[in-house]
Amino acid sequence: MITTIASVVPLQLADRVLISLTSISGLVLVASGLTIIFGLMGVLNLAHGALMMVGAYTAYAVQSAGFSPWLGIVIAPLVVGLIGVAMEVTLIRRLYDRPLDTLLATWGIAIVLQEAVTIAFGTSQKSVAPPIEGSVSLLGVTYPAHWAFIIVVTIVVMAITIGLFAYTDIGIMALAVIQDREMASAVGINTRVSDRTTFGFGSALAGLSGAIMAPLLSVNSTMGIAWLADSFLVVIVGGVGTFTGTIAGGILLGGLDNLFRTVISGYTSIAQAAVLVVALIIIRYRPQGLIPAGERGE
Amino acid sequence: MTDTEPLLRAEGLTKRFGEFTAVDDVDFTVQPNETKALIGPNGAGKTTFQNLLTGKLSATEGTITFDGEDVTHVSPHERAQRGIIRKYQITSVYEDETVLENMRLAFRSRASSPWELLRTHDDSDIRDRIEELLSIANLHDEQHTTVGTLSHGEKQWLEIVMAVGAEPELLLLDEPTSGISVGETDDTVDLIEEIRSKENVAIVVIEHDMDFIRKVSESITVLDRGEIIASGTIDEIENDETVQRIYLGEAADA
Amino acid sequence: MATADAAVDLKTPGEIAKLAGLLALVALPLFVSEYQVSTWSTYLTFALLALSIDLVWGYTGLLTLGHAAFFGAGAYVTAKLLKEVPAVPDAAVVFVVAPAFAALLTLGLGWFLFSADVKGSYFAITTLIVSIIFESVAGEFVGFLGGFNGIYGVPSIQVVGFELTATMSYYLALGILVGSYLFLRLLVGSAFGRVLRGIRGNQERTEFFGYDTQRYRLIVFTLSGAMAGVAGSMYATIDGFVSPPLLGFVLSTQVVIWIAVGGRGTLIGAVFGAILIQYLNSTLSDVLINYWEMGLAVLFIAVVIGAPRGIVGLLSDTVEGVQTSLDSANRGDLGAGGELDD
Repeated sequence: MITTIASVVPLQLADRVLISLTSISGLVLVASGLTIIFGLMGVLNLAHGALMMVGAYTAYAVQSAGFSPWLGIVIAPLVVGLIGVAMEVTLIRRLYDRPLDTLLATWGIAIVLQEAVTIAFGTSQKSVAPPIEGSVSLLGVTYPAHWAFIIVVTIVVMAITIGLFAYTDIGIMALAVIQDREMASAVGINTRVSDRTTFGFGSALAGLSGAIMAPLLSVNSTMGIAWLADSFLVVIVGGVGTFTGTIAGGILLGGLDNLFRTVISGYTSIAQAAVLVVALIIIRYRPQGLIPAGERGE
Repeated sequence: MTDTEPLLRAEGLTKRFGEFTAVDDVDFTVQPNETKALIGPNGAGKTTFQNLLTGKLSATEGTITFDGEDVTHVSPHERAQRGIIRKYQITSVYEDETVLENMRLAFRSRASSPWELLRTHDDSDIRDRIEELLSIANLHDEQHTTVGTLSHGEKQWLEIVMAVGAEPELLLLDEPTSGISVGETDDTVDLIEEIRSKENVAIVVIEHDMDFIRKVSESITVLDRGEIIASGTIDEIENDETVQRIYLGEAADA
Repeated sequence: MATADAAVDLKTPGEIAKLAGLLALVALPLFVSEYQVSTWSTYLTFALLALSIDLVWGYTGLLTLGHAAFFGAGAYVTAKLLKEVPAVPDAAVVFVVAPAFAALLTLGLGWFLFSADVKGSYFAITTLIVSIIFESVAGEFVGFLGGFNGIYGVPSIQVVGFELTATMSYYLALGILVGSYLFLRLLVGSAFGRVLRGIRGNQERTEFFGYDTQRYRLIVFTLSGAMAGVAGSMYATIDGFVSPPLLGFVLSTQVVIWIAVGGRGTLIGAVFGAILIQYLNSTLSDVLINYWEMGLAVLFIAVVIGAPRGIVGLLSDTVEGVQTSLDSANRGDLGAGGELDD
């Protein structure tokens, strides 16, 4: 199948498609944690980008201590997940009914994390080695193996997450708490524990995405900011509260980004700005997003 | 009473949410200075109907005429400017502000332009009027109290007199007794009686409490599943078999 | 949160403190070097930006995370005109063109967002995105806007051929700041300001009392944009250098932090927070700066959670508490007096 496509599609296009697929996967992967924390729980977490950044630095720290890159990918979500749990316990819990204050407080946390990382690692750029070196051949294009790895991880993470919330007791309970706290509490679910776990899981995904994406990025303490904006846009444009929405948002914004970069080549920032403009227009005219969550009656 | 032009006339008013029809072909009129009650079981469409009158929701079909003019497509603030003022079911006041500030905000709402509001002091007639209304609501001594610290009943009364202060021609009171004690309910009756006797205003009260309605209103309209199933005097409604069945049915469900 | 009467009562401790602060700022050029005077001038322009944000966020409840875009727009238009179009009088650039340009941007954006009732967190996020767009676009136009390097050598303001000295620019910036503060104080103390607080407290309720809240929000956002434009314009003439970060989201959020710490919805808190934090920033060495930023962020979080009216609110509550206990016995009901901030 792959070879037939390769023989028909011109090489350059295949190249483009693979690059787009990788960047879309990256966007969806980074936004996946926010889909849970903002999309499902409704927490406006402006520390999301910083959590991702901490994940990247964890990967760096593990590698520079001489361990395998694989270990970094395992440890990053654990470290960041714990930070998330700590955030939930100390701050977020007090702010569930104060969305704007949540937004401000989490921005404060983002700064704390940024400064902490700067104090610990300095201001210089770090580079992180990918767990899989070398390249693979896909659609007749030689392609860095790590890119393929990102696509695979994204698919696996999304599948597991969707499965978790759709089919497992723990996920269904978490959704019950999010939808109706009092009712869930009345039927005996410990809402505190559930909130904490859900928030921790979302944070862990942010950490994982940071570790996985780190080899492609220049790792520094402010790297999270751009990803923060992108993640929010992917979640909002796709449709707040659904995983399919996040995938759709990632495909649309990631796809547009690659398209604009090709069309307006040489002006990367303009291309990025153009994507943001499209996102603003979608938010303005279709605030429920591409794939809205179920209608909520009146 | 029916020979005058009604203040409000809703004709064939319908609201659908997808497949669900919340308000179904409702005809409803209110005469100037009349007090009417609108009752119905939960989910009957009372709140949706009220949202259609105030403009929070736009009607799928039908027209609303107010003061002889078609207001079906007029924006909420414009309808309020013309004199349709509501009191919400869940008290909706400015919790962080003082009682006096709440009143002042309601009072200036008929100013036609934002530029008229660039003054710091109220005229003495406005101050007198605020004092008068706060006295009616037994809140005269609470002028400088932050509203968030008032009792639930006091907030209800405050919102009612704020609505009166906005010079309504039609006042919509959505469950003015919800969540307040029996003693407070009697005070609410007195408050509404006082407003009826002193103000030139038509009132539509949406309520569950039949005893309350008996005290404040002569005429009742019953809504069920989005449709008007009966209207008439209190006695007529209480003896109406359909109405009895619906309310008994609801009691049996509860 | 009672509103103070707009009339200035010079006998309250709050007013005395404000006056003392103003005197200190007036006397400042006598005690510091000319270079430092310029630095303080930039503090004042950022304080004006903070005031403009407090009007929108503190009073109307619309959290804007992108106001630097309009500050930067004022700065860029000033830099271009002062450097390249000498025919336009400098005063006209600072007081007419820059605010008009920024106001046009806020008017357009405000209409775009308010007509769809974009509010709350979506308003915060969309304004943040606008700031990012402005910053990246300015960074890309190398020929026209200097790209990432920005525009150097913006001249000081000239009035009829006479160039303002650093000290004169300082007093001009101070005058604009004080004038804007007094103007906003009158505005928020009027019935108009009450409507703004009504929108903040409960937008729908305010709408259903008959206020066209969309119109009010648009007026306030545009006015605030114009103020940010003047602030940016003054900044460009004082600092002589404009670059993309002046438009960016980091500056926008920084100012929000200053306001929160100073005290939102108090006007004076925005000015106080902006000046105090910028001054402290400048006194710290590179080694300490990260710890300081971190400490500031922790303070910010604490204020957001526990003290929404910031330092000014805490101070005024304390003074009020002392006052009340001092003369509670002989103090009747004097109406809305006794409130320190406005």
